[in-house]
Order: sequence, then structure tokens, then C-alpha cells
Amino acid sequence: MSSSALSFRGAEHGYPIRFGFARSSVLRGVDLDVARGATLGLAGPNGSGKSTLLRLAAGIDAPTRGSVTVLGGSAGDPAIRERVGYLPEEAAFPRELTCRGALRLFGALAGMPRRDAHRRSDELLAIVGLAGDATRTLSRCSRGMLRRFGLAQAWLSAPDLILLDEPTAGLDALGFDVLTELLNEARARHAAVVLASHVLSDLSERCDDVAILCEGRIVQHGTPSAVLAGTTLMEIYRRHAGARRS
Amino acid sequence: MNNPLQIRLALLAARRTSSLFIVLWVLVVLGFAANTHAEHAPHFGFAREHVWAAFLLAVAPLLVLRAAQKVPPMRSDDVAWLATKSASNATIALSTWAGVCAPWILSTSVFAFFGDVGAPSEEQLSVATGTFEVPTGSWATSAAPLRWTATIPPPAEFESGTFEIGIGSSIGSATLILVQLRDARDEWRHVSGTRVGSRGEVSLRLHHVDAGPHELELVCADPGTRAVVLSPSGTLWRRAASRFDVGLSIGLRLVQAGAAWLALALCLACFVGGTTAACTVLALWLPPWLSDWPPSTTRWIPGGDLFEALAIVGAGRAPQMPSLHAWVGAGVAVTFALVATAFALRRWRVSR
Repeated sequence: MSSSALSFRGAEHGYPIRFGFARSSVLRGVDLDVARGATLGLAGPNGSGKSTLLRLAAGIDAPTRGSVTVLGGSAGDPAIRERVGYLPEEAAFPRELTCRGALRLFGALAGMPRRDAHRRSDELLAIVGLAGDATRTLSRCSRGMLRRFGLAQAWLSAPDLILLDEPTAGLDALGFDVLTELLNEARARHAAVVLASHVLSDLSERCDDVAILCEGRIVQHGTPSAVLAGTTLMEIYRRHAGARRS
Repeated sequence: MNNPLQIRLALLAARRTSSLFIVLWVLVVLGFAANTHAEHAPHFGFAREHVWAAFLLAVAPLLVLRAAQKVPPMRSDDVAWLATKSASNATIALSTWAGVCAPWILSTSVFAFFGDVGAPSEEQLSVATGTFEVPTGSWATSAAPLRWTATIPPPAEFESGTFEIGIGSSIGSATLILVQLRDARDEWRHVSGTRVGSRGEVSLRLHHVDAGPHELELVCADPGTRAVVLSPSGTLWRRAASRFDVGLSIGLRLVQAGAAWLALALCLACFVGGTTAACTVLALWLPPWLSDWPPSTTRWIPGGDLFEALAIVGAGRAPQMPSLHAWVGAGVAVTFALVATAFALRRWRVSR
């Protein structure tokens, strides 16, 4: 059994442009490993490819070149999907459903037994502070509540790999505590977490490793103290963007 | 292994198809259509036809359009939470289709019930239950009656048989057409006497006529007149068991057609916009409805004979139940559309 929860090998990805006759390159030869039980912070300027990298890991997009291995298998394998939790950046969850109803739907779609899905939904709603709003439709939830709901759905099936795209965006103080609690729970289960964020404290306090992504390439990778020592994210971005232009 | 039909996903699709506005709209249309005052009409068929015409014009297109616009599972909004789940593309396609079919079936059932519930209790409703041979295109003249042999199928509990004729030349405004039948005792007896203008229906009284082959004779009673048989076949009628036979018959046709329309619209909406998909699918049914396709072709099309059936309803009778061919046609259309939808979803996420 591989010790790596997520592995990118020369992964490239681009989106079709000019009616599909050309592709805009977003990821350019990414090599990256995330060990089981580790929390990797992913930082990078806007458009650097963080969300695309997470979409590849979540099995939404496929690499145009290279490979992505998730929990030892293909990201498109249904058995692998059941073991992956994903919080997208702009989570457009089904607004017609209640918080509880949406979690139960997600549980059913993830192949969870009905009873487990119900129990786990109620547990997670309590953890993220939405137990009192379980019957509130998602269309009537605030942005912060939706982010907390998003965290609950990412943790629903107790996944072995959790992908979080800007999890702290829109979170209040309660939401930060919720995220810390959930990350601790994942660590205790030996689940791997990839956390894309612009917030320095997210990366330095919550992550075991940090990778900096610039213009589709991993330009720095190491412990937070090694990568972020005596500098800011902005300085790192400028340094690598400047080096590339020169 | 995941359940191939995810009820919760189906319920979400049903909910997206039927907003509060849609529900209110269906009720308003039903309210107007079912309250048609047809007290001067010779029978209740006009009121029934009115209800179903309202459904076809004001409700059916809206439901197909709404389903194609709001529900296709590859809308970008749904990718984040739906594409990452382990449910297969086939499960997503099947559950979504089942969900959009639910409001369709529910509204069809409601229209079927309210279309028939107001029928007078003394109504004598006939239902089409079979066919008999007629010499299509053959002429009868006042000098030369037209004779042919038609087989009445068992159990022969028919009250009447009908076919359509056209008048070639006449004296006055209408021509007297007589039909005689040679019975088991080898005696001719009159089973019809009808005055027909330029084109009309001849109705035969078939009470107490046994099953089997019978010789029939069409006579133009007025001198110098002649008539031609227009129908491809005659229709046999018997007393309907219930006033709800009409709603059941038309409702089942609409369930067949709706199942196919919704599956095709969902499929097409994976490639083009929802409005374009819905309009294209509905337009596909115009040729079989408006052009003169032979029954051997239209019988395979779900809802292909809908307007012929509605014409029968408007004449105060009940059409035959939809044929097995139409069920097969609906099954093929739905299967094709769902397979194509599941295949289209492969573009939407990494699929094994």
C-alpha cells in the first residue's frame, strides 16, 4: 500500500480555447506528493492553478499530460471517489434543499448506507454549528453558514483525502474553530488534507508542508518554517514571477 | 455498489422542475379548462378534449422546457458537489430523468381525473377496441353496391363499427348510404342508414353480431350517386367500462410521450442550451402529428397518434389504449437518451 495519499507526476492541464483548437496551459509539469495523515498547504497568486490542481485530485478534470494518483488509484474510480472529500471555492450547493437534506443526498450519492448518512449528517451539523439550522434551506443560509456547511459535506464520508479550496474565505471566528476541530479530526484518522489558501496563518499554523504554485509550477515546497521564514507570500510570488519574466 | 436509482437525487430533479409558479400555473390552467361549460354540446367529449388541449398547449411544453433548463445534471453549478460523488453517470442520468418525470406523471394524472370526473352519470361512452377490414378506395354506386367480407374478432361484444366515406356525386345536399350485413342465417339485414354530405362517418349497429367473417354491402340509395371508402380500416366500438377510460387512454399516451420528450430534452441539454433542447425535441413530434404518415409508422412513436386520439375524444368516444408498439418506441427513445446522457457526462468529469 502506497504511503502517498495524493501524487502528481509531470501533471499538465489546460482549458480549451479558440473553439477547442488550442489549450491555455494552467498546470505545467507539476510533481507533488502528499503523505497519508499529512496536511499540505497550497498557496499561489490568483490564476496560478491551485483550484485546477484540486479539481484534478477530485476527479473532475483529467490531466492533459502526466498522471494523478489518488489513494493509490485513479481519481475517476468510484471506489476512490467515496474516499475523497472536496470543498470547492465557489460552492453552489443545491439551494432548494435544507442543510440536513443536502447532507443526506450527498451521503447517498457517496454510497453511504442510509442510517450512517443520517447519523453522520447530524453529527457534522452539530460540529459545524448548524444543528439549529438543519431544516433551513441552503438558499436562506449566509455565506459563512454555507462555508461551514461546505466543510461538513467535505467530511461527510470520513474521507481519507480532503481537498479544501479557500476554506477560510467567508468564515467567522466560529468557522475558524470549526475548521481547526475538523482538521484535528482528520489528523487523528490519519487522513490527508490539501488546503489551498491565500491566508498566511492558515498555512503556517495548520499545515505540515507548504507548496507554492506560480504560473502552473511548484516553485517551493517544504515545511512552513522553511518556506515562509522571514518573508511574505507576496515577496515569494514577486520573486518567482520576476525570475520567470527576466 | 450504488443504487442505480437515487431517490433523493430524483426528488431534487422533481423539485427543480416544479417550482411554486409551475404548480400554480398548472392549477390555473386546469381550473379554466375543467370549467368549460359545454351544456349545449351534444356530448361530454368537447369538454374532455378542451381539458387535454389545454394540457398539451399550456402545461406540457412548460414542463419540458423547465426540465431542460433547470435540471440537466451537467450544469456548471452542480459540478462541485455532484461530479465528485461516487454515483455513476448512469445513476445520475436515470435518477434525474425519473425525477423530472414525476411532476409530468402527477400533472397528467390530475388532468385525467378532472377531465373525466365531470362527465354525466348517464353518459354512454364507447371505446375503440379493434378494427375490421374495409375496401379502402373502392367505390359504390347506386347501380352497383360495394360488397366485401369483414372479420369481427372475438369476443364480439361490440355495439358499433365505424368507417369514413366520401361522396363522389350526389343529388341534393346529402346522400343516403345504407349498409347491410349478411348474418348467420344467411339473411341480409340493415345495420346502417346515414345521410352523408361530402364526407362523413358511417356507423354500423353490431349488437348481436357473432365473431367471424361477415359479408357487408354498401349501398348508395339515391339514384345517380356514388361513394368511396376513405378509412384504411373500420373501428369497432364497445361500451366503456368506466367514464375514466378516456383519461386513462390519453393519459397513458402522454406518459409515453412525456417520458421520451423529457429523456431526449435532458440528453440534448447536455450539448446545447435548455431552451434550444426543449424546442428541438417538441419540434421533432410535429411531422408525425401534422403530416400524413402511415399508421404503421406512427404507431411506433410514443404519442404519435395523440391528435387522432383527441379527435375521437372530441367526438364523444374513448380512444383505444396506446399500442404495445408505442410502449416499445418510448422504451427505445428513453434508453437511447439516457445512454447518450450518461455518455455526455463523461465530458463533465473524469470517468472510468
